[in-house]
Amino acid sequence: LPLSLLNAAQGSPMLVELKNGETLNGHLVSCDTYMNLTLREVVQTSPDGDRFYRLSEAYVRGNNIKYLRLPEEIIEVVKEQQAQQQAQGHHGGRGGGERGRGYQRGGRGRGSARGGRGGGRGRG
Amino acid sequence: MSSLGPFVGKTVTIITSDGRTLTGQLLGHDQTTNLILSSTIERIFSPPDSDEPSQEVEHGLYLIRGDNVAVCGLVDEDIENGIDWTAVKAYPLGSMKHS
Repeated sequence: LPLSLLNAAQGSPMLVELKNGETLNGHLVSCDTYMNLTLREVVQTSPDGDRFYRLSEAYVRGNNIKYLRLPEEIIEVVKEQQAQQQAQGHHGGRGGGERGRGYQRGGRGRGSARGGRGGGRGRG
Repeated sequence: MSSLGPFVGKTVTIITSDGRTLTGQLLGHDQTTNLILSSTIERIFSPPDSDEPSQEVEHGLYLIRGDNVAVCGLVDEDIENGIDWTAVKAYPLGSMKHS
């Protein structure tokens, strides 16, 4: 769930605090399974809060992150996305599952019939 | 192996590796203990010898990286609401990492 929330948050503003206390305020461009991030329009603040840097783009290595602060609205956006995906997934899944079971039943039936006859020959 | 599954949707208090206390609703977690907390409040306690009341800071939606989570505890809502937190004093916790 956490990484999928992050993926859904692409394009929204966020605050990233790093383990060394620096903070980066910017919009999330992309992220990966390691929590590496690329941000755009970034304001980087030093740990003491006295120095500010403006960066057009920044790359953050995931293991350096302490936490991320996201806008509250994101939860609702994610829920809507999940609801849409589940609705599509159920329709496709049910149709595919029925077809799959049909094939398997046919295959097993034929296979067990041959096996039974073969076993009979062996014992006899 | 125990997991955070039973805690999802409930109010939890997290102690982070730098000694901060965050309370919020646990929305989700994963294998590396990354946590999603909503309506997060950070409580900053004043030391017993100081007269300042303890403070609360609202932080909204938090995604906390698992490396920085020390403790995640389930909160009893009734007991929690019955406490006047501004009157609670405590020494600050140390950080997990020692130089």
